[in-house]
Amino acid sequence: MKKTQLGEFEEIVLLTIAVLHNDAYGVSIKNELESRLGYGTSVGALQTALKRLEEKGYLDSAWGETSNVRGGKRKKYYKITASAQRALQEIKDIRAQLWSDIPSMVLKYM
Amino acid sequence: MRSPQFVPPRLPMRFFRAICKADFLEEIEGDLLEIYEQKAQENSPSKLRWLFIWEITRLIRPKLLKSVIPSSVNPFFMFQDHFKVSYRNLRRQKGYTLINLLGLSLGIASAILLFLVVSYEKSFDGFHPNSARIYKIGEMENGGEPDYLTKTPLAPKLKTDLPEVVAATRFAGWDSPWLEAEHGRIQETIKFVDEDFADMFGFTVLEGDLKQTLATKGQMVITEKKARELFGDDRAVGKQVKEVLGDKTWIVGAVLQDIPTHSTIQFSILSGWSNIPGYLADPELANWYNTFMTAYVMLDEYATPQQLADKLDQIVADNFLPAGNATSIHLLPLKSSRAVEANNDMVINLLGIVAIIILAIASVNYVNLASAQALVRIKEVTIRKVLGSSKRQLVSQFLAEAFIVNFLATLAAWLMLFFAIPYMEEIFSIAFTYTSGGWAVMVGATLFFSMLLGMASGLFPALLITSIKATDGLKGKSSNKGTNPVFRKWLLTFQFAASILMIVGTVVIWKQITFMKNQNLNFDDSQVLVVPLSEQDFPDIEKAMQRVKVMQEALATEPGVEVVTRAQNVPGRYWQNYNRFSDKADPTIVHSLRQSYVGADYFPALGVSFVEGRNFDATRAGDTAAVIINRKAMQAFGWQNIEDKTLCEGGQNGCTLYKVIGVTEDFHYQSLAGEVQPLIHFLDNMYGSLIVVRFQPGKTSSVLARVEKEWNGLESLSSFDYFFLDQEFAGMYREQERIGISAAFFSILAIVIASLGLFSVASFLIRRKRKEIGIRKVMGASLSELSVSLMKGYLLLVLVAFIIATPASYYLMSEFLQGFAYHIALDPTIFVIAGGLVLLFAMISVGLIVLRAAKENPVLALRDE
Repeated sequence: MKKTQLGEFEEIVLLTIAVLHNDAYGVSIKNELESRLGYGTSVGALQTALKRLEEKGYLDSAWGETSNVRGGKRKKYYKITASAQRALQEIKDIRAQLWSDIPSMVLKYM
Repeated sequence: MRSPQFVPPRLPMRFFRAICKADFLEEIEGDLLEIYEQKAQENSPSKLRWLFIWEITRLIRPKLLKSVIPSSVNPFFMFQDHFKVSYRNLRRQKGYTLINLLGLSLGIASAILLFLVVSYEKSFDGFHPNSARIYKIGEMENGGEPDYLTKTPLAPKLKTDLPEVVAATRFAGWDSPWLEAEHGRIQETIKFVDEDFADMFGFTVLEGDLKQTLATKGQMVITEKKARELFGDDRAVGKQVKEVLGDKTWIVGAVLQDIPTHSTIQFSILSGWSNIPGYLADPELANWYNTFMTAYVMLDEYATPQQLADKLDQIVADNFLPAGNATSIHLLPLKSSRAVEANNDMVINLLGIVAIIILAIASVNYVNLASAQALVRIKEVTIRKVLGSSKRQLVSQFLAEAFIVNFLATLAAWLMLFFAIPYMEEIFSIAFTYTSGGWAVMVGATLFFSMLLGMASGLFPALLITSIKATDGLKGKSSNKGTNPVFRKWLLTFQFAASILMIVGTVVIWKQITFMKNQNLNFDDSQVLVVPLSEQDFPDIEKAMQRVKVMQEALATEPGVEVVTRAQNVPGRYWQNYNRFSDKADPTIVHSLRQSYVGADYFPALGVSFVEGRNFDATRAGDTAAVIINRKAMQAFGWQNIEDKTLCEGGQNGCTLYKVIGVTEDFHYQSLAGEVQPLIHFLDNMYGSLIVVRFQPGKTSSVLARVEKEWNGLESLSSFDYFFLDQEFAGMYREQERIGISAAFFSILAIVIASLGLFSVASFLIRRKRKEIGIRKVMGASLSELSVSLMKGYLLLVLVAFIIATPASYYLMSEFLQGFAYHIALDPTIFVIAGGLVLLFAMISVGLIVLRAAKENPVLALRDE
């Protein structure tokens, strides 16, 4: 895990953006997260994570069209980058490895 | 569809726009608007507003905020540099730093302290969820001051007759029986309430069902502490409590958490009225004219007392017995009942004002010092400017300094408070209810505010010094702003004015207290010993009363004892018990009189003189149907004398006749804060719950020993207890003395802080006049001439302050004195004393510097280059 420095929340945000595919922007990510996690997050917490991920190069963003909803403000759409994919895959692999290495005895009594 | 109602609150939005990084603004604002619209579907407008504010609050994260530092500067080094420069500067000017820190931390500490006291007082009764809807019932006569007592049937009547009243309870209890259970024995007053009590108040129930218990006959509710005293660590609910006297037993139905100190409703044991059924049926007590019951009502969410005024008047008209005075019902918000009870509404507001004044004086001090001191740093600032500092960077350097000083001062203030708070709790008889976590939050909050304060007070000196032109600065010339500081003079004037105001306040309060203590009370309160008796203390009350009689006779023979008598009340402890009396000759003249039962020798024992008629005579059989009134009562009935005057007590079911045999002087049976009211005294030796002994001077210890010896013969369940009447009476002024002490303390503080400020401002400014002084001396000016010319500017400020402060303090103090029925007149010497004191302090602090400067050898001053 030395290269990929992802917090748990950041990882979930990345995965959610991947799930939402072409429709990932602030509010939709927030709603999706809330329905999946079962608890609310603040705009502040989400935006901080998004900005940080973008700085780390895990996210690309692009402005959407101007419309008359949202007070005329454009949406910013997020897409995960190739390095994010790699990082996610790496975490997944490490986790899978760990799971498979747990002796079956332990799992039985867990 | 977008309807205009989806526009979010403007102010939080503007705040957000002001703090958010420009790059993120469009995206996040869009998100916020969208979420706002979503939430608008499901929430009420007011809740929506709070949700929005909450959301914005949580956006305050370093990542998303606008940067305060220009991006070209590495913020870390910048701040590091600021702190380093500030530190060096503060260290170089040790005296200045110390004075500044001392003044500020004293100011902050007192402001916090006063804030704590004020917020403690304001926190009373706020913990009930329905607090805002609960009112205490009071009655007003002729539109005067309301008394928060009423008639027994009123509360339930309000509930049945007015749909706006959703719940009502009476709250009363006088008897304090001894109670016994497995683990212990206690004597405690049982308070009786209606079932609605459970719905109205939010006392925490630890175990059991409060409402059920109040509704059930034979059950009681006790507090946790009493439960422990009675049952130890065992469960109390369901257990039996036995009255020691008699054979009555109770079952504990519920246990409440101990009643918080910031509750005006205090009790240890509660029970329903069904346990004393005879009481509510007793025509002597539960009638529409005897006023002594405490009661509360809860209104529905929309009703206000103002709306109910007409309906309440109607209820008075329909039910109350007609009296000579127009009575009206007054509903006092529960949250205000503390202020009314402690009679400290104005005091608390005054303390709040004092807190702000002291904080202002301390901050002004900082501004003054920092800007005077800034003049020394003109060269430093100029060099920085020449080297390319922007104004913003320079200002932030000075702000950083203000910030550090304020931060340190606040820490020092808390250190002082750490030691001061226990004393403060004692003086104000307060127990702060904060937890250690609460204290931590408070420390954090004050640090935060002190930083804001630092910003505000650092801004003026910062702007002052950075506005000096670089060319002027290099030439060593300071602009006019620096040398002729009109603004600073106003600040000094303000400090002096505030000090004068506080000194006037202190002097007035103490004069008023002394006045009240020395006022002729129209009775002699010295050399009177009072021993309380309680019926609850004696297994056989008949026998006990016989013994008390024997005790009285025995005491009368003790050398040094002048009079022994009994009384229900003594001055300083008159119960609020009013009854209705009409003139037999003209039954339409009715007055509500405060009543008390006394032994025959009560008035001689107190040295009360008679203006008409005679005292009670125990040997005359007819005197049990006789009364003695005071002068006020005679005036109320409009009598010139008491020949053939008879009063009729009560009304509903016919009244009882009493012959008026005497009229006493208006003796002060209560604190001089309240006016003497019409009083009526009945003769009854059995009623008296106090033994009153007047004795000769110098016999205190022998008389006391004898009384205690006799007391032990009574076999009371309580231990021997007594008080001296003069001490008890003086005790009523404790609240005022408390204010007086704090006023004195804080005005000394104010004047000290202001003088510290003046001292250092003057020392800076006079140092700048070194050359002028030197030249004047060379030209032959004498020491006294020099001193006068240097000092007169400052003394003029004191004069201006005096002119400003006098009318303001006159107004405030006459308002304050209105709270006392008998008060001093504001005489001009008070203001002269205050002005003189401030002048003296100013002269000392400036004089020290002036003398030093004027005595200096002019050669040293002029040599310079």
